[in-house]
Amino acid sequence: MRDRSSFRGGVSYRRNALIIGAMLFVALVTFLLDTQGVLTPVRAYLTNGLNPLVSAVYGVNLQAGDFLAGSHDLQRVTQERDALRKENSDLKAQILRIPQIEIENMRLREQLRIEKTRPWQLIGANVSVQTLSDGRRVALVGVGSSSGIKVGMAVIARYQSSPPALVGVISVVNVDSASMTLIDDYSSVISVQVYHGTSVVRGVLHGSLQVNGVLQMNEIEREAEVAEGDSVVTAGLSRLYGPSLPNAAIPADVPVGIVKSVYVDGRSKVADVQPYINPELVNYVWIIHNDIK
Amino acid sequence: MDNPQRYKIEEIVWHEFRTIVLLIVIVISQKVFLADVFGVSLNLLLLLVVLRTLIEPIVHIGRWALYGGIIYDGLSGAWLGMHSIGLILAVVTVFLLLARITSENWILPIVAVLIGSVVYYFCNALLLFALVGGFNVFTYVTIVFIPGLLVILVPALPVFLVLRWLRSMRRGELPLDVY
Repeated sequence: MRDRSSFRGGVSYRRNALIIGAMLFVALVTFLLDTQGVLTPVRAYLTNGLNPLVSAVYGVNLQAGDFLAGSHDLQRVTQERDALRKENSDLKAQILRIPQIEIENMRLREQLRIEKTRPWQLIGANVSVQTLSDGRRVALVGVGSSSGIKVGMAVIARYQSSPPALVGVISVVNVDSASMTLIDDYSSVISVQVYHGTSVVRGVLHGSLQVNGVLQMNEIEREAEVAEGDSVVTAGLSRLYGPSLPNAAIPADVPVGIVKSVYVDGRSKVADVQPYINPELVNYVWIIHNDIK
Repeated sequence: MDNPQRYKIEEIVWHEFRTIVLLIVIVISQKVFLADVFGVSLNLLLLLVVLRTLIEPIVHIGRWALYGGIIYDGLSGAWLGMHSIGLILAVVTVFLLLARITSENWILPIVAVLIGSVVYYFCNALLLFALVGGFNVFTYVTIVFIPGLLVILVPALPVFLVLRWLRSMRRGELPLDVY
């Protein structure tokens, strides 16, 4: 039978209540200190200490899964398939650039925009662990401030035959690791644009916590022409209007996804956007390390 | 009455170390081995903490909540202490509300997990609402809380029976069920 006197009505009531109160107090103080950044080194130490353990267990789990699936017997076929996927991905990436270049050719800023196109410097990193936190879509990557990583940098990845596409934005930076908020996290807000024919339609892409990973593109002008199948890329407006803004390191024209459906909502339009990549499936990413000066 | 038994410092340290290692294993297992169901994975730590509150001394489970929450935060990139607060409040609430009900009742674990989950998710939502921009309460309820609650309710009774059986084995008791 349970010790019912341990917290209420027993002799040790006050002692146990004090202990539980002290634990709650410790948790609260820890939380408040961490929100103020005081415990950032401690958190980094804890994260860096636990991540290798998680990665090792995760690796064992994946290997066991591969073994059970009989993938060792299909190694050659798998390699060929991976090569074809990579080739297919490169071709898709080239195709995605075509409508952008056509629009750029029609504008006076053609040359300037071409010079600005894809000045990406990439830093590769392993995704060590996805978030455990309920409802959050956060992942930890294995590079940090020692590699020049800063908050607000865009993170891209490639999965199977997808083009290199945005999967998240760096939100917290430690010395040797960093947290990235995935694009489907509910706090994710990114300025995006859609190339439709000869027009450019801008909006704001929100993470929506949807189970199927669909994002919502809001604040589209009601008269704007957006259709199913249009490509969605980053707009880079933060960089344009405020270099000091959190997302200012996100360059323009990073592929994000494809418009799945469009509907009118009051005075504006809303588009459901299917990301090119489910961010939770990637285990290796590249961080766009541009000089935002 | 206070426990007259005095433990040596090395025994206390060893016990705490063992608890922390066990919690690390539980949290990692939760992430690696428990696959998502409809986008939500079973919160094993919350389940165990709440169910053990029904059969173990609350101070012992309070330590589980504190340590487990911090480990959880360390692995998830959340603020340290965030999940500990939710877990401790869930433990205290479950204990205060259900302390008078016998642990042999089969309905007890279901009710306990229900109450514990509500407190835990409410606490998390409150902290996220205060600190995370763009947080939408309705979305959190429909996408996180309700699926999470449904998923955790499914194994509540079997896990509770296993925990109670393990306790009975330790104490040499025969389990008695009340329907």
